[in-house]
Amino acid sequence: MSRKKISEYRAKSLILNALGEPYRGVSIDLSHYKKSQLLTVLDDTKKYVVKVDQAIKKRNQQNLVSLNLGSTEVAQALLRFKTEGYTWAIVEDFYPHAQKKELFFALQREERGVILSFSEKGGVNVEEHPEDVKTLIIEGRGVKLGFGKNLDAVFRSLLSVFEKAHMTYLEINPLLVNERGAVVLDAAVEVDTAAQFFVEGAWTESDFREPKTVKYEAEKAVDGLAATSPSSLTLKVLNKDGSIFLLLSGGGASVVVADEFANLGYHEAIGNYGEYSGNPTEEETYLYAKQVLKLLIDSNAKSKKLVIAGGVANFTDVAKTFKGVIRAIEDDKEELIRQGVQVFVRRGGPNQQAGLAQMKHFLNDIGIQNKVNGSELSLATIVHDAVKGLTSDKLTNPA
Amino acid sequence: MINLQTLLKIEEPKILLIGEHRGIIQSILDFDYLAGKSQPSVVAIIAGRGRSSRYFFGDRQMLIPICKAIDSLDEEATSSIDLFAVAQSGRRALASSEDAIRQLTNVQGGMIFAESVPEQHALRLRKIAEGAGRFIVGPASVGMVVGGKFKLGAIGGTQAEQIAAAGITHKGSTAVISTSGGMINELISLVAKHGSSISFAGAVGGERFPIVKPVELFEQALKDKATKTIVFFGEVGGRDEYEIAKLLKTSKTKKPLIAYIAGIVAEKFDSAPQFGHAKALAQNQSETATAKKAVLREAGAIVADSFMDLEEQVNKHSKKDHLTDDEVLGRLAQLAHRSDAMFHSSVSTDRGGEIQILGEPLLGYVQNRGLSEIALGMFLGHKPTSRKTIEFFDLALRLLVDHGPQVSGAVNTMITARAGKDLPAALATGLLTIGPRFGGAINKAGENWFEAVLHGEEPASYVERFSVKGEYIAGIGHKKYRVDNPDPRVNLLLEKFAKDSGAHLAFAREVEKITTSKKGQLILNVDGAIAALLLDILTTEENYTPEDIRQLFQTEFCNAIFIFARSVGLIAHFMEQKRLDESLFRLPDDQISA
Repeated sequence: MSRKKISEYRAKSLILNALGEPYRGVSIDLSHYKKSQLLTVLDDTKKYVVKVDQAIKKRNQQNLVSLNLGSTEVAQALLRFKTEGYTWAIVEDFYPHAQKKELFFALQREERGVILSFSEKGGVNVEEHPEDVKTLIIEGRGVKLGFGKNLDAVFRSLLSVFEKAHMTYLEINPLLVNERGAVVLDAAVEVDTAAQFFVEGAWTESDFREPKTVKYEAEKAVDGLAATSPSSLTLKVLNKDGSIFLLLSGGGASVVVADEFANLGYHEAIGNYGEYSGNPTEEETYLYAKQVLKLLIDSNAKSKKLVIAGGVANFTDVAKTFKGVIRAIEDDKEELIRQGVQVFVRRGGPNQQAGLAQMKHFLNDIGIQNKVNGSELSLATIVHDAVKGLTSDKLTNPA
Repeated sequence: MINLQTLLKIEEPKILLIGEHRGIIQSILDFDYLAGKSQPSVVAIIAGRGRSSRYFFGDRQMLIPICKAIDSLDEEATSSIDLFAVAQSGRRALASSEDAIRQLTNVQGGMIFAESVPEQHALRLRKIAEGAGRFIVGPASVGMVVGGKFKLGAIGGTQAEQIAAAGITHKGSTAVISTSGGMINELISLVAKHGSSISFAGAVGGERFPIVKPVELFEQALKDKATKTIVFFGEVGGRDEYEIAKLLKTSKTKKPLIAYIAGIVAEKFDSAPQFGHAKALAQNQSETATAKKAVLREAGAIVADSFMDLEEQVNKHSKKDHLTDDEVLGRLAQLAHRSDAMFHSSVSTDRGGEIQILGEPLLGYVQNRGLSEIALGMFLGHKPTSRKTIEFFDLALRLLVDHGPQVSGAVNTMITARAGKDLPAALATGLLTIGPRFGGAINKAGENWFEAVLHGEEPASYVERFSVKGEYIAGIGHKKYRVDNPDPRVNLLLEKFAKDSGAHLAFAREVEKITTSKKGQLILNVDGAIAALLLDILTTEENYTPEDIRQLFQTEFCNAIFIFARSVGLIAHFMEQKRLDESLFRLPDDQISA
C-alpha cells in the first residue's frame, strides 16, 4: 500500500517544526515501557494528556484519550493502554481552552489538487456539522486563501510541509489559532510511502502506525517475508476454518479469482486472500506457500481445496515459483493426503509448460487429487471446478 | 494527452528504452520481428554501463547502442525517437520522463514501468505531459500496444509464443483498457482465444494517479475507426468509471463497451482487507465495484456479472478477425534457430551481397571521403562528427608516414626484403617491431596525459614521479631537436590545432616547461603532441567521456594511427630494396663487439 499513516508524535513534530514552534510531546513504546523512566521526565506540578498513538479514528469515543492528568495518573493511563494491548502512546502537556475556539483543518491530496477543508466549529463533533466545513482546491503556489491574516499564515506553513513531506492527508482537530500562533491539539497524517527517498528522513518506516489488530502468525510471517523482498507478497486470513485456500499471483487476477468465488456465493468458504507477484525467488515462494498450507491444514473445514491460480504472468517465472510451491507441498504431503485436500491449478507466463508439467507430475506422483491447467483454461473455470462438491461446507462454515 | 491517430501515422515507430530491462526490450524486438518489420523499433538504451548490448532480432543477433544520458544521444536519435519507455526505479521516473519529453524533439509519449513513483511526481508528470501535448502511460504500467504498429513495454507478453498468439501482430478490431498489468495480458489472450485481435491495448497502471487516465484511452477507442469493440477492466476504488460512463452516454459514436469491475468480494466482508492493488479500496459507497458497475450499465455498457460472463460477452460482441497468420507462425518458427553469434561486426556488414560500412552502403560511404576520414570512422567505430577531428587525424597520419630508413621497423623490413622474402613477411617484421620503444609512445603518452588531467595532478609532481624512478616521460624528449631548435612537425601541429585546445595540451606544455628547464632536449615531441591534441579533440569535438576515452585506449587507437601511417613507409622501403635488387644482408664483423 502506498499511503500509510504515521504516528501522531512524528506528525506533530513535522507540523510544529513547520509552524516554527517547539514540540514537547513524548512518544512511548508500550512494549518496552518502564514507569520509572517516565517519571523522571514528568513534572509533578503540571497536567498532561495521554493518548494512544496508533492511527485510530475516534479515539475519544473509545476512551483512548485521557485528559488533565497528574504525573502518577499518566503512569496509570499508560499501564491501562498497555494492558488493553496497545503498543504506542504519546504524553503531551495539557492545554486548557474554550471548546468553542476549536477549529478543524484538513488537507487531502486528490487528482485535481490539494483539498483544504476548514471549519470554525471544530472538535469531536465536526462531522455533525458538514455545512460548516468550507473546502478549497489548492492548485500550485500563490493561491489566495482568504481566511484572515493569522489563519492564512498558519495554513500556508501547513501546505508547505504537506508538500515537502509528501503527505497525502493531514488533519488537525482541534486546532487553536490566536495572535501568538497556533496550538495543535490532535493531529493525524498519512504519507506517500513511495516518496521516502525524497523526504530526507522527515519520516521513516519506523513512524508508520497501524491500529491494533490481532494478526495471525501466518500474516506476521508473510509481512516479515515481504519486508525483505523486492517482490510483492501479501496474506490475509478471512476465515481460519474456510474450505478454500488460495495461492494467487498478481494484483488484478487475484481479485478476479476471489470475486468469482464470491459470485458463486462461496466467499464465506474462502480461508485466505493474498498474492505473490513481481517474480519472487523459489525460496520466497516456498516460504509463502508454507504459510498458506499451514492455514489450510489447521482449518476445521471438512473438505479442503488448494487453488493455485493466476493470470498470464509478465515476468514471474512459473517453473521457478512452482518449484517453491512443490517443495512446500512435499513438506506437508502426508497431512494433505490424510485430509483429502484437492489441488486446482491454473497459471500462465514464462516457462509455463515446464512449470505446469512439474506440478502435474509431482501431484500425481504423491497421490493428491488435482487439476492442472495453463492459460488455455479460463480463470473463471478453475474456480467453478474448485467449488464443485463444496455445498455442505458452505452451510456449515461460520464466517 | 494521447492521440492514437497521430501514433498510427508514424511509419516506423522508434523507441528509446530508459533503463535496460532485457525482458522488455527482447519482447519488443520479438513483436517487431513477428509483425514483419524490417528493423527493430528499439534504437537506443539509456544505461550506466557499456556502449551497446546484444539482442536478437528474429534469429539474428544485433547490437543496440547504449548512451549514458538522453542529452548524449546524437542529433539524429534525439529528433527521430517517437516513444520512450522508462524501466528504471520509481524514484528516477520523474527526472527521466521529464528529460525525455523536453529533449526528444519529436517524441509522442512514453510509458513508466516502475511502481512506487511518488504521487506528487505522477501528478507533476501529468501536467508536464499535458503541457507539452505528450502522453505517458503509467506509473506501474506494462505499457501500450498498437496492433501491428508498436509494442511499448511488456504488454502482450514477454515470450515470443505468447506474442505470436496474442493477436497483436496486425491491426485488429478490439481495444483493451485495463488498470491491471497482469490482467491486460489475460484479457488480450482471452480476446484472441475468442477469435478477435487487438486494435490497441493499454494498461494505465494500478497507482492512485495514473498519468493517462482510463477515460482518455476509452475516448481514443471511440475515435479509432478500426476499433469495433472495447473491453475494459477496472477495479474497486477511484472514480474512473464515472468519467467513462459520462463519455459513453454523451458520445455520438456508439461501440459496445464490455466492462468487468473487480472487487465485488470486498463488499461481502464487514471490514474488507485490501484486495489487489494499492488503489483498490473504496473510499465511499460510490467507489465500490457494485456502484461503478451500476453507473456503467446505466450508461449503456455491457457489464459482466462474473469473469465467466465477461468471456461470453467478449465472444458474443467481438469481431472474428483473428486470422491464423502463416507468416507470423513461420517467423515464430525461425526464432528457434537463435544462437549467440560467434562474431559481431558493425564496422562493416555483408548481407546478401550488399556491403555496408558503418551502416552506409560501401559506395556511398567512400565516395565523398578521403582515405584518412574513412579510416578514422572505421577505427572509432562511428563516423566522426567534427571536421576538426578529421583534419587532425589526417595530419597526424601524414606526419607519421615515415621517419627515415634508420629506425628499427624500417631496418627490419629492409633486412627481410633482402633475405628474399615477400612483401607480407617484410612488412610484418617491420610492424612486429612496433611496441613500447618504437612507435608506442603516442599510446603511452596519451594514457599518461589523460590520467594526470583526470585526477588533477600538478605538472611538477608529474615530472617528479618519473624522475624519481629514473623513467623517461612518454611524449617528452628528442635526440635531435631541442628547445632552441624545435621539431618542425610539432610546430605544424601546434600551429594548426593548438588554438582552442584544452586541458591535455595545456598540461603537456606545462610539463615541457619544467623538463626543458632541466635539459634543452626534453621538449614535447611529436608523439606527446599528437596524444595531447587527440585527447583534447575527442573531449571537445566528439564529446567523449573519460569512460569513452579509456575504452578507446583499450582498442589501441593510438597504435592504430601509427601502424596505419607507418605501413606506407615500410612498404616503400621493401619496394625500394626489391627495385635495387639488394643481396642478402650480413652485419659487418666490426659491428659486433664481444
